[in-house]
Amino acid sequence: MTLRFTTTTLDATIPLAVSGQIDASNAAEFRLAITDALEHGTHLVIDLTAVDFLASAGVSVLYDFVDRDPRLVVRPGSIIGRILTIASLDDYLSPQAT
Amino acid sequence: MRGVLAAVLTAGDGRRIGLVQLSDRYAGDFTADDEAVLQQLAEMACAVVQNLQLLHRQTGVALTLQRSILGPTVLPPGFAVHYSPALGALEVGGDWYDVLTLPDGSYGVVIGDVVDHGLPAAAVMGQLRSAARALLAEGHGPARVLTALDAFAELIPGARCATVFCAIVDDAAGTVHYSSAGHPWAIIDDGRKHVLLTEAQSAPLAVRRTVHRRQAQAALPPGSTLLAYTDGLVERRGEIVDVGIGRAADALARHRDASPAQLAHLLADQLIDADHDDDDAFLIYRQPSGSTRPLSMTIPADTGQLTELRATLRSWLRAGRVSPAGTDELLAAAVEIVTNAIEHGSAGQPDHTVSIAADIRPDQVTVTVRDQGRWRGRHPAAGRGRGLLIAETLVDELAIDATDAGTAVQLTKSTAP
Repeated sequence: MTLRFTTTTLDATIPLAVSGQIDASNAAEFRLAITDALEHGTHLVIDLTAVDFLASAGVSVLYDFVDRDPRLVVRPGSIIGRILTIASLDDYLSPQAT
Repeated sequence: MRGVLAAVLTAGDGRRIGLVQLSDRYAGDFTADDEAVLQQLAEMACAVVQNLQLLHRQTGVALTLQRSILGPTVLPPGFAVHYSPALGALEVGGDWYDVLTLPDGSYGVVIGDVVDHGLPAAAVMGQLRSAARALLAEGHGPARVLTALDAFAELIPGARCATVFCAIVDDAAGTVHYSSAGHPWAIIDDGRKHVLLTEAQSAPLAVRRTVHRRQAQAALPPGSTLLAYTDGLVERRGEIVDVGIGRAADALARHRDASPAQLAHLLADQLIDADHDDDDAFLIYRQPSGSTRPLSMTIPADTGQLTELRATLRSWLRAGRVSPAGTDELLAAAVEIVTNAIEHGSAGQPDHTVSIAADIRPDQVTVTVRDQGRWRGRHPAAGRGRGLLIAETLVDELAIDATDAGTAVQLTKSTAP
């Protein structure tokens, strides 16, 4: 399973674009990418629009960073948005996704 | 010089490629004359061996090149093909077929026929096949593919007047979208009657300045069979082609119980004229019948298995006509349960296994996950509790059967729209 990450630094905002499928086999990679990104700024935006599968293992990683108040971007109407809602992370979803 | 006489076979570049050895002369010892004769013999043998080696290499190269321009030999489920070039040394001809799985899970299908046969036709065929494949992979529909092929064919001497049938088979929707550039009509046998795909016929490639490529749609009901072919399947001397097409349609109706692979053999045996000395190619696709076979698999308790499991389940659900949204939800739920079984039920021991069984009834899908571990109850704070919550929310029913021997979790989801 390959996960891809792209980080672009704009002022203090760190957009982290993720693509691929996140499950228990690569959640650690996902955690590492977020940790890396946080070294470049403070305001974390995680773009999950190109993620086509998100298991609870990935949700747990996101939970580890809620104190950084991340913005999560998902494709409107996608299963990823539903899973984040079920897991009560909908407060962090970017407004356009709802 | 006694007993044994030997000469090394030395190639022009100094490589030693063999040895000729003589022993036990009939009378007396080997002489200098014998040695001279052997030396000559060795040189001649060396030349022959080198020529053979060269021929082997060239044949290998030729075969590899030929196979590279032919259609795929590993086909998606439901497909079967027959391919036989005109008699001769070549393994390819001017006919071709192609099948590729498109990003949305539907299939691009092409069958074509370049004028003439033999090596020149095969070279043109290879280019047209690659071009059509690239166009389909780019997401173009059949009519667009043929329009673009027109422009491409104008650039290739020998491609003019080639005929091509191009289609997109959408197994989930049960439809085929097609367009034909002067190619004989494809046939669908729907289980009761046959339908000829005649609605989107236009001129062969690159024969006119501008051709409007039409596109039409036909239904592929459950269990129906699509047959696309080149003329060798339906043509016989002294007979109009309609007779041959009728014969092919009758054969499809006669062999509805045959698998696609069996059907390909039967059609080749029954329909291709033994005297026919040209390329033959045809392609069969069988739409899954309504009753999808239950799925049953056992995987090592290793999260590295999840990707493949997801792919297998996804294509099975697709074949069973579960909606894309329903498929996403069931997959997410099933992966949570399987992950739980891998990480907790099997205590992460890779020699443990997890088995997954899935079944589609008319109105619901069930997925059952079994492991050899003990159910540990739920811990809402932990990730596992969250996974269970996700699974529970996404399906209609989640049942847990925990015994000392292991745990079974069954997910049930309605497939009603």
